Amino acid sequence: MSPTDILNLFQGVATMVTGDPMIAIGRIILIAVGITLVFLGAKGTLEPLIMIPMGVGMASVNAAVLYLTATTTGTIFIDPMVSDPAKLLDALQINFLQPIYTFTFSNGLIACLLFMGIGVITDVGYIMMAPFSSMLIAIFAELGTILTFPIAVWMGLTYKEAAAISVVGGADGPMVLFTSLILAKDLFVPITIVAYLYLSLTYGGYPYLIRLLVPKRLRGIKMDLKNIPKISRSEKITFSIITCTILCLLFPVAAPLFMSFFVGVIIKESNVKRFVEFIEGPVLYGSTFFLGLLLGVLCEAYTILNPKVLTLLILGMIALLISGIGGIIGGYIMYFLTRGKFNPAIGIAGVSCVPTTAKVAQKEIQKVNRNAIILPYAMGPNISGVITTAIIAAIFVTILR
Amino acid sequence: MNTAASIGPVQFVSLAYFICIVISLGVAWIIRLLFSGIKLQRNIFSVKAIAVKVNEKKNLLQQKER
Repeated sequence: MSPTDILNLFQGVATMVTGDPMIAIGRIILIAVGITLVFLGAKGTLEPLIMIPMGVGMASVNAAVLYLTATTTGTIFIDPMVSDPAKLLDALQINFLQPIYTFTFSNGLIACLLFMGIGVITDVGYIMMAPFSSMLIAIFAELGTILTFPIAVWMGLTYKEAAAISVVGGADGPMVLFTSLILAKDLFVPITIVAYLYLSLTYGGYPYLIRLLVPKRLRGIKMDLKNIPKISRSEKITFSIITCTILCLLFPVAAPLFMSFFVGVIIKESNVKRFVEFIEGPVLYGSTFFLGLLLGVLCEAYTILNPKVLTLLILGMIALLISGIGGIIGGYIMYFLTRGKFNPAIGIAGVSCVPTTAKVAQKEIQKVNRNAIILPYAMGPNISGVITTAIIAAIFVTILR
Repeated sequence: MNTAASIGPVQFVSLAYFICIVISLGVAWIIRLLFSGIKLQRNIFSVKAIAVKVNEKKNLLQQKER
């Protein structure tokens, strides 16, 4: 038995040794990154719900490359590039994750399911108690999306690719997935990975941005909790159904997202307990798990080693940084409009990472003033951010599709 | 897509931002409108309820006077 025959017994190693050295190095690096993500997720440094399945998927798929024929290599996890119906049927029978990818991922269903889950855990009452200030802050927090677009075009991306990566500034994972699937299908894997990676880092990075831009004296401002109006369930349902219908009427392309979000909100407010339990449990966590796993599995060296990945990494960071700064600018504008009664640090919650950024604002403010409770005021811009991001994504998709 | 390609990235994104601002503020305006409508309805109901109570008291007083 020659050494080559022995090597062929272990095809994961054989494909690494005999294949392109660059790809082999890429595979080793991605295996290491996958293992690191699992540890950082388990430790709580990164979002464990996404990072643990993603890390496991990333490490496994890059290790498990085998010879599909005498000359071609691949895996039996997934084939994201297959489009020919006959080949797709084969892939569905061979690749174990192919059915989930084909029937939930590539048509955006998983993004909609996640949006339903977000709807069920969202209380629109917060935006209804201060609609204009919430929207104003959210509009400023979209600056990252807006300013990243021309930068991306100047860095050599097409309009569609630029739009897909700039939506990262909205800090809304399912929205990035939805937009990139429609506008930049070739780049949706790296764009979505960049988005989710950075979104898990916002929890660590944004507190420093708040401390840098908002002085201690202003961070300690207490918000008035006595005059918060009570919003009834019927008011929330009326608002949700009217807004959903109008947004669907304006942007039919993004109607699945709008419908998914508001159906979640309406089910919650209607108190249909069985549906609420179903959506916030199996649907939301099931989708999150498979999203993480599929994102990891899609990180195969052949797919991910794209010369545009570095550009995407830079642009994703720029988008989230400018959005954070924009949100705080919005907070300052509210501070001046209310003559010093509004805590400008709330502005960071305009970045729609529900409810992470609102929690970050509350945590940072409470470090300065223990008695300052701003969460009800922060949740308004937070939820408005979801709506403004959906609107911008809808505009991009409608015009550029 | 053709419309977008014919204008520069800055103009395109400014247009998108402008539309986003208009629609977002429109949503805020819907909320405000909804609230004022509901408040108005509540006021009408409470005024009606007060009127009914005043009428009842008036009737009682009239009955007592008789």
